[in-house]
Amino acid sequence: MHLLALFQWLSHSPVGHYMQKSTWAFAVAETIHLLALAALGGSLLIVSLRTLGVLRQIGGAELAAELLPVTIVSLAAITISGVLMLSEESLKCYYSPAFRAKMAALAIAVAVSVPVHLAQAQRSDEELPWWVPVGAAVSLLAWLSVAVAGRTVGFL
Amino acid sequence: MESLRHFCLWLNDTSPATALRESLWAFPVVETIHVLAITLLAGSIAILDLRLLGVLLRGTRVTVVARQVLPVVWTGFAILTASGLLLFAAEAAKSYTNPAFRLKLLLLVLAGLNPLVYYRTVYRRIDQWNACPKTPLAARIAGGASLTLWAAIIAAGRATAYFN
Repeated sequence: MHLLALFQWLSHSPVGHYMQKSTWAFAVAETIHLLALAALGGSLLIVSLRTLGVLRQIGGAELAAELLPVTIVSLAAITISGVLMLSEESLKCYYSPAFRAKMAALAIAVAVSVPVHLAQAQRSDEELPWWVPVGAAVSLLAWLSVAVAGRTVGFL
Repeated sequence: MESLRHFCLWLNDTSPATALRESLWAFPVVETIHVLAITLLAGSIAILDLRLLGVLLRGTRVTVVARQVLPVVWTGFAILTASGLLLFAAEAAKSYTNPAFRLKLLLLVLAGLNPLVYYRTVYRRIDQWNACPKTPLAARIAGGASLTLWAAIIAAGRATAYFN
C-alpha cells in the first residue's frame, strides 16, 4: 500500500471522523501528548546523563531498569495521542516537511534508544560496550530533533 | 489589581516585548525552548515524586534519588523561568485577562509551596524513613501533590494558547 493511501485511510477512519468533528478531542490529545513528552524526555534524559557519566548517584543498571516502565508507558501514551492528532489532519501532515522530518528523526531515535536503554538496564558500568554511551548521546540528539520538528509541525 | 493591569499593559508596549511579539522567528524559538524545558523540570521531578509515592526506585534512598534528579530539575526551572518571562512580556496584555494563564500562575504558587511544606515537616525526620520503600503519608501526599500540580500546570499552559 502506498503511504499516502494509509494517511487517507486514517483520515477517513471512524477515529479520524471523531477527531475532526469533536471540539475538544484535539486539545485533549495535544495535552496528553505534552504530558507524555515530559515523562518520556525526563526518563530518557536522566538515564542517558547517567550513562554519559553526569550525575552518578544511582547505579546505572538499577536506574535504567527502574525507569524502563516510565519510558515504555510514556512512549505508548505519546504514540497513541500522536496518532489521534494525526488522524485529524493526516493529509496536512503527509505534505508537511516538518512532519516528514519528525518521522525520520523518530525512526532513528527509536532504533537507537531501544537497544541503548536495554543495554543500560542489563549491564553494570564496567561491562558497558563502547557503543552504549555513544548511542545515549545520539539518542538524546535524535529525540531533541523529534521534539523540535514536532513543535514546528504546529507552526507551519 | 488595577496597578497590576497597568503594569501588564506597560510591559506589553515596551520595545523589547513588542519586538518579540512581532518577530517571525524569535517568538516560536522561545516557545519551543519553553516547551522542551518542561521535560527537564516536570519529567525529572516526576521521578522523585514516584519515589516518594513508593512506586519507583524503592530500594534507593530518597535523598540519593533527589541528588540524582534535582540538578536537572533546577536547570529546567532556570530555563523555564527565563523563557516564560520573555513569553509573558511579549503577550502581557492578553495574558492578564487569560483565565488559563491566571490558573497556571495560581498552580505555580501551589507547586512552589508544596516543597516548602515538605522540607519543613516530614523531611525533618528523613533519617527515619530515607531507606524505607514505603514512605510516611505526608511524604506520599507531597509526591502526589507535586505530580498532580505539574501535570495541571502543563495542561493550563497548553490551554493558555487556546484562550489567546
